[in-house]
Amino acid sequence: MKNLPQNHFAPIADSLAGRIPSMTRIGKRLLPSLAVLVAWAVVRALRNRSAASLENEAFVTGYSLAAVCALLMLLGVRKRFSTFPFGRLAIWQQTHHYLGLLSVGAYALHANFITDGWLESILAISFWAIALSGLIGWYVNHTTPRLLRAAGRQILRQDIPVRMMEVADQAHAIAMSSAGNAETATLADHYRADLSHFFASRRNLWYRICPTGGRRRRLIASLENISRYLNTEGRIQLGEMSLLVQTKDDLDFQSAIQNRIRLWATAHTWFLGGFTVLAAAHVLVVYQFADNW
Amino acid sequence: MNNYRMPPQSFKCGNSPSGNPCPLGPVRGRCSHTSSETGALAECRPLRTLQWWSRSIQATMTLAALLFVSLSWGVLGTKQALVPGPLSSSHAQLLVSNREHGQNAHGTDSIDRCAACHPGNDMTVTVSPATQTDLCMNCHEQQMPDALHGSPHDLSGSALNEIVANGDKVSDSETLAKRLIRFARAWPEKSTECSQCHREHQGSKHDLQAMTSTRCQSCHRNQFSSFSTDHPEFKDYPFNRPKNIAFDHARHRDLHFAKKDANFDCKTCHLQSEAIGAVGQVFRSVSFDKACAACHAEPIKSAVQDGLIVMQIPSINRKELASQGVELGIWPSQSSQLTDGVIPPIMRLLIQSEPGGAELLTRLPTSGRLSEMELTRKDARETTVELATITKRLMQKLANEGQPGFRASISKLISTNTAANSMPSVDAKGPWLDRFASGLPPDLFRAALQEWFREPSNHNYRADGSPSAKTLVRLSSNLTIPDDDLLTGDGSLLTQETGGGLFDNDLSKLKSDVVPEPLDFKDSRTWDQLSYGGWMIDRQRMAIVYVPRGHADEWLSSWIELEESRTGDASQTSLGYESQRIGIAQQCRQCHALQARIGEDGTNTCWKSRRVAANLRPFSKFDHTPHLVLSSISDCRSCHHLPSASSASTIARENPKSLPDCEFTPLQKSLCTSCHQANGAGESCTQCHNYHIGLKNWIESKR
Repeated sequence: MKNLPQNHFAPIADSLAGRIPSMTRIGKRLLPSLAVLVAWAVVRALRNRSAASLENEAFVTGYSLAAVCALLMLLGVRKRFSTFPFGRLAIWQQTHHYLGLLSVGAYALHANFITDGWLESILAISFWAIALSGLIGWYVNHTTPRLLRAAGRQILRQDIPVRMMEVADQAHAIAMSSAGNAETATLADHYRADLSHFFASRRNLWYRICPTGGRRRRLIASLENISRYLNTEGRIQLGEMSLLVQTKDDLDFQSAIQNRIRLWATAHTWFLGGFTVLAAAHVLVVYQFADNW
Repeated sequence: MNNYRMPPQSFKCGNSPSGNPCPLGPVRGRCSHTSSETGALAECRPLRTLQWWSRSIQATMTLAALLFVSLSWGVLGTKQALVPGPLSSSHAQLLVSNREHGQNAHGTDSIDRCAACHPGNDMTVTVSPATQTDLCMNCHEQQMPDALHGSPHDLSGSALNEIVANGDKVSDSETLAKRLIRFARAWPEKSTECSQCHREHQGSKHDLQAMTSTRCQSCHRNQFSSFSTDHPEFKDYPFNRPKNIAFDHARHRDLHFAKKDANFDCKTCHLQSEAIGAVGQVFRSVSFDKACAACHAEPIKSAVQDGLIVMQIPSINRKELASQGVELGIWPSQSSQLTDGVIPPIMRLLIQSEPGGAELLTRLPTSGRLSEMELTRKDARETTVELATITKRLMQKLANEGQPGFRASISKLISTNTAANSMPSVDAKGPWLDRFASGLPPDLFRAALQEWFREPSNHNYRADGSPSAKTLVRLSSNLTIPDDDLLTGDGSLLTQETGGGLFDNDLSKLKSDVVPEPLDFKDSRTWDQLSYGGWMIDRQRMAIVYVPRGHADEWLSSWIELEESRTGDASQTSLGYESQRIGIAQQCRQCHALQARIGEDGTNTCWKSRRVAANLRPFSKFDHTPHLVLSSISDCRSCHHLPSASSASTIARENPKSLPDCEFTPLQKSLCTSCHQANGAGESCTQCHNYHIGLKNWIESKR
């Protein structure tokens, strides 16, 4: 069994967490939050000033919201042009997250959370779908590194199937070696009956949505139960098999977590095109009908 | 160095889930291995990646959005899906499609609903010059007929200038009104639009009139950011509006009610409990019958019980006149003993309407007393004869022509009126004249004429030989007596053509056979016979008397209105008119601030208490009802403090027009701010102020 270095995947976790090593805790949370509050206050002040001038304040808040949305979309551009020196992706992501918060605030000023009419409602649904998926993705991004570190080994998502294959091969080899000896054959029997399917197959959908360690504990407990039928060599093989069960479960856990991140990351973009089209139509409608403003 | 191996592709190796993908992966969705290749890897069926699914969903959503917008706007053309929200109920019902005619109440097709309010938005190339506000006013013109749209408060520059002139100094640098003017001057480039304050498409239950104070503070920000702290103190609220009814609350409470030990309860007169509402409707005043009659009905009846003398035969000393060589002719014996009496005010007016009447009045004693006339003088004799002639002519006219003749006389009085407060033209006063003339009974004049001028008299009028005197007493040629007149059955007695006539001492043609026997009239006091008002012949006073029915008698009111309209007329002053006013009217003027303000319907609104018109929208508004619900201020006196009678301004009975405007202590702002705060009953500007004023309301509210 190959032991991968513990800090091999640290950059991934740092990236996911938006960690910028050079920034202090204040710089990481407080300053961006204050910046968001100040920006929101500026938009609100502009709105009040517009209303006090008997103008339609929706124009100020609408253009502010549009500007924030445009800035939010720049993250996708940055990802597509990763070779250009536009700053670290982690900084872009963190900026994206706080701008997302600002967009919710700007939207509240623009539409007061109340929308009516077909176009406005669909546009609002698109906005909230993007915003909520982003907020959930943000939460997932913040909690995932801790979960991944708790799993012990962090591994790239595309390497997980290979590692699973390797673990399954190692388990199969241990089982085969134990099968030739009568004092260790119980392990082979147990592998054939309970473990082979565990190593060879993917976890069910419920586990991928909400991964737990229940099956891992049950399998390890069953392995411990057969130790009394094994001799010393068999118990050594039993220990290796037990480690492989844990490794396979860790890989399943990491697969589930990383898939969850990818799901929310992609779901965040599902409504982007529709939202852009509807927003453009909204602007056209406004200028078509609000001719007095 | 980037730890990611490669960007996600649309396909991945079919062996990926098994952990044994080929290093190259699929090419354009096909497995890059072939069956002829050697090795452990078998040909697979490439799988879609999450990236591919994500892009597909994204593209589907985008296409769906494009399809929705296209169908809503371009293809279907209804644009209803693009509406940002339902219209308010008041507007939505105008746009409801009429299924039978394919048109809505606005007269537009259902497809073209947007264009009913949004000019140039019917997706045509036609550019409408009308603005959205113009379209609004197509329906709302009636509510604001004189509003200057685009100007603050719908007022004109002159009205705003007046605000400047009378505005309170709320700031050292700039008054509110000046700020308003400045705002108005800068406004032409940026006129106000209805939609700036009235936001539509907020749902059917949205109140279009609901307004935040922010809108008002576009101009008033510095002065009125908060009602409790920044609003100026009330100056004279409730405003010093002139009153029509001079009710002195303090005197009534402290003197009259106290004398009778009666409870002076505001709600007795100002609250109508049986009306709809939590506390009933609040009125500024109630009817005379409810509020005043208990004490004032009898005195008014007493004042009018002697009636109003409309025509009276002047008492002339026939003997003295005859001794001077002038015969009076047929003249009632009761009025032939001595020269005495006063020409009644109404009769003076009627005489004035006759040709030469005004000139005749100038020759009468200024005191009005005929006894001051010295018949030994020729001019006095001529005046006396002329008075007798014109009196008789008036009686003839009213008997012959009746109400039309009376109406013509009054019209003439109006048309010759030069007073500043005179009534408008006669034509404009048609209804008033009609109403005035409708009460006159010509039969009564006819009967009086028959009774008083029937007896043959030996004292035929003769001229004294003086050509001038003879000319003076001749009557007009077209004067006729009613058909059964005893004097001129054939009309010849009073005609000039006959060469005789009444004043030519030719009574030979009198038809003595048709002279009825004198009737035995019981000469009673008018009030005894006319308890409820009316006309009668007063034989004691030799007068035609109208007895008003009491308070609010229309015929008497008309006379007083006519009299009021002539106040200030120089010609009336020269006639000694001011000292000859209708006596009963003084009783009326004790309570009524009379003005010649005749409405189109012929009525004078000055008789009744001023009522705030239902459609009047002054700057400030107040609704008593929600306040009276609160037990703490349910008593009117909790806000309306009335000084004692000794300190309060009382009715100026000598000069009724100087009625006190407001006898109550002006309200203090603190009365309102105790409740009307931001976290209390609210301090929104529009709670107490109207925005849309308009010139009509502005002018009306100042009256």
